[in-house]
Amino acid sequence: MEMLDHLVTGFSAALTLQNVLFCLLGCLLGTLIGVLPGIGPIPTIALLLPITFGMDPLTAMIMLAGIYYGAQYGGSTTSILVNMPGEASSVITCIDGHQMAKQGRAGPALATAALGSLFAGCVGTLFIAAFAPPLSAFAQKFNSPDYFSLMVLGLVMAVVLAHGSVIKAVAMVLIGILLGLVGTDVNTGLARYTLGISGLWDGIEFLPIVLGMFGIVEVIRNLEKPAGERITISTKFRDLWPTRKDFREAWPAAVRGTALGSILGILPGGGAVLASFASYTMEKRLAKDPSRFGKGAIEGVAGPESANNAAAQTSFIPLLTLGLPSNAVMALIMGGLVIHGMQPGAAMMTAKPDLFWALVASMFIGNVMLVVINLPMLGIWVRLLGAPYRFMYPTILMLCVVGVYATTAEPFQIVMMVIFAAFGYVLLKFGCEPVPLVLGFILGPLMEVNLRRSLQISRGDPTIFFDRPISATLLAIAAGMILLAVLPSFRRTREEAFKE
Amino acid sequence: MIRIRSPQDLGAGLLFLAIGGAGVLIGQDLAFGTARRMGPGFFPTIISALIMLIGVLVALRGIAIAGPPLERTPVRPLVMVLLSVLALGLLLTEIGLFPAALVFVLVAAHARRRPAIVETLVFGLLMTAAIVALFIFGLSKPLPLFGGA
Repeated sequence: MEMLDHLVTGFSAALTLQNVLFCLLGCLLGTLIGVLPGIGPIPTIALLLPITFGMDPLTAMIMLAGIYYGAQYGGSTTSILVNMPGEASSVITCIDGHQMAKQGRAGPALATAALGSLFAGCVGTLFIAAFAPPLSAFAQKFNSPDYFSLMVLGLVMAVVLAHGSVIKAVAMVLIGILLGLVGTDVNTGLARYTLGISGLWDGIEFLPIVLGMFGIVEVIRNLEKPAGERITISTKFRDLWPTRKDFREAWPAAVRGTALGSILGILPGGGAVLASFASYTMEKRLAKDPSRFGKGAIEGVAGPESANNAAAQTSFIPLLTLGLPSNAVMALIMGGLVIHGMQPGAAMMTAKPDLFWALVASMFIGNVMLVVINLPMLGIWVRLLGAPYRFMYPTILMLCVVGVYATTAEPFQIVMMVIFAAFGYVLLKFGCEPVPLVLGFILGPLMEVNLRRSLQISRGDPTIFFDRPISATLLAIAAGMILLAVLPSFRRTREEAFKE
Repeated sequence: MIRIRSPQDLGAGLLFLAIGGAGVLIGQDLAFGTARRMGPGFFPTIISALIMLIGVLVALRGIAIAGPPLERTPVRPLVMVLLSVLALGLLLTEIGLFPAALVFVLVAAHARRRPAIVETLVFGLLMTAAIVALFIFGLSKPLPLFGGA
């Protein structure tokens, strides 16, 4: 089998003692930052990414994989233990996971999440290995109009899957796009929307937005809650391992979740969120006794956790085949890869197949490492989360500042972070969910470039987007999603699903 | 007299209007071009106009349809947290990482009511040491420990 040969080559390049050690370190740091309440995978990866800058590409890639899985698992841990999801895809895990923790079964819940994630991660990686190469051949047929329509679809998905009001989410996406356009126009070299501030010539940096709107705002919101409502952790932490009965109930759910997640993850714009919701709904439908859900059903942890990990894994496919990040985390990873001279996309697959297969191998290593390192250390993470919030929040704030400063070495970026924290705070008070803004921010400049090229090709005729079959199909799907979102029946399920 | 039924929506609508308005206004200085040859102002102006449109819709909805009230907004956590971060960021290059971190911890502690000063100081010193170790020695980042850069 050709794929197997490639994998062996990838592993032999990736598996050195140094690489494995850095992967371990990445997993540890990722989990350590990721378990901090309110710090989801996005700020965690943003904070840790700079560590890999000085390394050789392969080591950096493997450490990145470790950080990625660590950050995600850290988020799940926080969801289960303190009922504080760091991001939308962990919301579902909170429902039954936190109930299990309250019943003193935090150990089995965390172990189930870890094992489910391992299984899902490995299957997802196989999925990438099997489908990315043929898909990249297909991706070479993509032209500017198709890219533009794909991005429209990605943003529509992000809107449909966001919490709360659809119309406000649309506004968030558009504001994100506008923010993404700040800086020097690639086409004319003209400074746009910089207000004469030289720090904005290169555009608005990603890190201050993410850390300000997600990290700092979360701290403020936690401090606002009266002392009693603040995070409390169930101190009952008896045994770690799931019982045989747990296993019997959990593994079919994990397998179903993995299958669902692997497929949904390929979709642009928030596949992981969709996957965990879909998996939860499916498990509830399939269960003999649906009333157990919401009261600590282990399937409600195993299914969605596997689904969102499988999806998080297969969301690498659009990045690796089209060079298009389908969510904020992928955009960060892409940034990390580009710094090491790897421009993800169809070209990377054909020009540097070695790197692609080494990347796939590092995903496997990262997944395994995560479980190896985390299961024995669960007790430590639990104790860490037990620390009083008055010690935790200055640590989070300090990490945000030093993280921004260490990457950019400009005090101006810290001012930007404060501005975005204030902006994010106001948005939340007005009932606007800021996640779609981030995706708009990333895709905005790419959309403009592709729109410009498309209209140049068609001499200003917008029907080009409907004439090309790929583009037309993507737009039709996007239109369908919008229709679904406005339909009353779907809206009801959506509201139910987001009810925390 | 118009009754505001959803202050959250009205606020969001007005905010969108302001952002979109600013976008259109600043975009005036940039060449719009034509669809065939998009100028630098083309895309941002269209996006800004759409933001304004949504702003109008959401604001009208805020007047017409009932929604949740504004959450209460305690000033102390908001101001102290933002101030502490700003102070740390701006003092970092002026007086060095170590003293800046202490100022930061003291201001941040006041995001809560009546912080314990001794505990805060001890904790601040510990945290500063950890961060210094991580960034200066661990990652060899050029952050000055004491004094301006």
